[in-house]
Amino acid sequence: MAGTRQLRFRLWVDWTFSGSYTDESQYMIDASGDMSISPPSSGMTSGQGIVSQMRITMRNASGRFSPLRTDGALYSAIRDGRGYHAPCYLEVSVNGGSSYSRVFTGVLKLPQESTLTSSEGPTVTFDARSMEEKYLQRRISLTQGQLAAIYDGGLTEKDIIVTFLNAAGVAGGDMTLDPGLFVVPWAWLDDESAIEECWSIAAACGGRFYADPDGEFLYENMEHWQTATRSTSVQLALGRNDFDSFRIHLGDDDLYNVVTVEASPRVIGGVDIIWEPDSTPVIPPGTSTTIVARYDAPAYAIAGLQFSAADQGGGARTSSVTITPTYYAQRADLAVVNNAAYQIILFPLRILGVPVIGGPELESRSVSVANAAYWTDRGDRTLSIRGNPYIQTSSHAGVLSQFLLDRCEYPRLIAQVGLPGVPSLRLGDRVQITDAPTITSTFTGYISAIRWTLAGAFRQELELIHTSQMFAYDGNYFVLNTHNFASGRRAFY
Amino acid sequence: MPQIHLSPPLWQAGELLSAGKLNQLSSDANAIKGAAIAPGATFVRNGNDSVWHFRRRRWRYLHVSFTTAGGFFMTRIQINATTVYNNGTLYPSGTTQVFDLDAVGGVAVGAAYSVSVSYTASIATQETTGIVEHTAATRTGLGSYSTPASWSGSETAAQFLSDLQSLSSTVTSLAQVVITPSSTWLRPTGSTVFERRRKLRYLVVNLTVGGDTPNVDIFVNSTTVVNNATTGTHVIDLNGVSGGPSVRDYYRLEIRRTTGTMLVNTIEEAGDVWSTAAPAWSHGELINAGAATKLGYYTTLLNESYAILGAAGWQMPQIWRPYEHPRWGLHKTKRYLHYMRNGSLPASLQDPASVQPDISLSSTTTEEPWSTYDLDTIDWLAPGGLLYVYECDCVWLDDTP
Repeated sequence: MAGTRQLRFRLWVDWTFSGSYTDESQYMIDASGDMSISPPSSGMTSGQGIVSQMRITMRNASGRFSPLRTDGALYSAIRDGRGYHAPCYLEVSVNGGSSYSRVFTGVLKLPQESTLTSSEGPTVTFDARSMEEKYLQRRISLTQGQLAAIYDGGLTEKDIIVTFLNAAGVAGGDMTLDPGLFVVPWAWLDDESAIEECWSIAAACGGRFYADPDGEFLYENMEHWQTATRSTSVQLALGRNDFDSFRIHLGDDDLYNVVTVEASPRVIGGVDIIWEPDSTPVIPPGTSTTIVARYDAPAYAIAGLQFSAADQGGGARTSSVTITPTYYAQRADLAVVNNAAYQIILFPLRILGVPVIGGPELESRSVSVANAAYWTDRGDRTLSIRGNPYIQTSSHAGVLSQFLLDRCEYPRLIAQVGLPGVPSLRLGDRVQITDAPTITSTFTGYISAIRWTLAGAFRQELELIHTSQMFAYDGNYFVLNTHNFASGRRAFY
Repeated sequence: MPQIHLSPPLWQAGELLSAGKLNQLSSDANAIKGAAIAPGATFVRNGNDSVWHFRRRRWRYLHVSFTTAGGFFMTRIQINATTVYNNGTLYPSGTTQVFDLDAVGGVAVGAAYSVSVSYTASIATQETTGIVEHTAATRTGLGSYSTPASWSGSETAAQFLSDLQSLSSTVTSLAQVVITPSSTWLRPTGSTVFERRRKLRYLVVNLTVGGDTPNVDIFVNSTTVVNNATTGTHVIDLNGVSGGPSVRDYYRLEIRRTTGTMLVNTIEEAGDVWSTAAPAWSHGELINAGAATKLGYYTTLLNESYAILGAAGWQMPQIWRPYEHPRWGLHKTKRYLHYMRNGSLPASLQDPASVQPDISLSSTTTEEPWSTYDLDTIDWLAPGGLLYVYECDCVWLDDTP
């Protein structure tokens, strides 16, 4: 940490969504942001996702960022909310511009403008969210064929995340995903957010899914912090002269001595009627309409579409009707064309298929043994993981319950350190702190949250989770293709 | 008895050796072992025009075996009333006609269907000797087995990974055989010939005989194995039967009643004690020489299972009502009993020990010829437990309703 820090920063915005970024650095007054592996006030076991954020304040003397100033330089780009979700990124250098690291990549929200007053200059504030924001509200449905392919292919959580993100339109080059550790037999999207489902499947597998400051979507599996170089070797060593604040506390957000994980096994059913309408569809003459057929359970295979059509005089009109189905995992869109000059009634109308049946019916329960004495006088605290559809086998549930229990049975030791910012730091980086007044040896932890400010200086506050509380055999696990029986290593979860 | 779906783990260089993945591998391997000792299918041979039912199509090829001899002859085979074979060639030594269900019959995977075999003859003898739905184009096909690696304890790091991957590949290659066939059997009161496929060493037949000077004999592949059987259980060591079947061979089981009365209760196979099991693993376990021994159990178990099961999926259909007031037996190896009962007399489920009250089954109709009973609703019927069925026209066990 020695040496002179020369701060530089660059703020880039793609106002036209063309891939051509404009350097807005000269207008930026300050910025702040944060990123975390878990939402505020929520334990890291919650399974909820979090979107990193940034707030930037822009100097607006010329009306450049005013959406109502027709003479503003960006008027056409930001009027009527046109700047919504404009891609942006902020990069920071602390060595005079020799190298920059991104501290945020994402999309802008809508601006808030403050006019010139006697005490303040005119400014515009933008909130920005990391790349999840762009896809978060995009509802996706997988096709029936994709559902079957996931099952037939024996895909892991990583493969499924790829499928979900591809369906949402995320380019392959924007993903960096760890190998999957669990085969998840059944996965589908039925008008659901791919991002939310990626959060859910990552949580089901003890991992994390998020977009990093470089704008890439990351999936870090359960063992990531024991295999990734940034987590296995110290990325930042701090002594008393390197930080300006250092606090340690014990947290109880994730303090439990019992962990229950529910599993939802599913199996392939027999060929059956998987959809029939409750009310009889009536199609006016010479019209087209789309009937959305939503099934009670997803369909592994479609055996056929059956229908007949008649007019209200009882005359057969089936030959005058065409129905073109598009089969999704849990619904079908039936494009109906009535070529007859009569109003027709569709009866019967049914879809035959092979449903996927099953639901929550298994549980795995792990109870503290290693710290049982601590809990004797305190009573049980139980963490229940329920309703995650991606936990589908008892063995999967068993691994997850033990994994979570090992992280929860002791009060969580957390360090918070404030320091001159290091823009290259990332979540999960291994950081070591030496501070004789508080620690006999050293505190080594993984970065679980970064809060930063850029206002004349670049500062960070890091939140660190103690490494040994995450992994009992830190650095001593058996690595495939590296160790053998003589290596004396241990099995992971 | 949930349906088994194998999910062998994937192993990649650089990842940690996961106890969870090893346990998943154990779960799969033990499930395969379970399939190896699970009851097999029992086909009822018949010389009359008959219909056999599959409640689910699982595999691709339908093998219909029959013998025909005598005068003018036509043999007709229908799948769901669609004629797929109609031929007058005589086969005194037997033949097996193979139908690719992807090409004929119009039966989708998962759909129910029937197979009808009928004979038109003037002076003739004929017998449908076997019907097998099989993943292979030959009824004795064994599928493609991926042989697992052997563990020595001195593996290099690269060999260790390769051997692990080999175990998962082996499990994958056995995915079809954990879908065990429906294992119901007819309980005949008269002479009956069955077709079975050997899995274990001992054939166990329990029957009740009575009447005046009863005379019931049991034959395996035409060799007398029980002469003048008495009421009770008869254990036949198939290893000692002259001309008897090897493991995985189809074999003919005849129970011949010459005089008296007879009711066959159970037809089962049993094996020697099989002690090898796939091990359990835990977080923090030391991966040393002891672990090498544990890993070796997988290889042993999978090879032993393959020796019994092969690697190809197959199933046999059940015959429709070959005599009045038919009786059936089954072990609860699957959750759902599919049955036909279209008639005035109600069908029922019966406790073989006659302790629990009978359970009436609702009738079926011509329009809806099949119904389903969830065997999990019988609280006294344990997994694998024995159950009798009375008066159903046809029965079938399946994992799904």
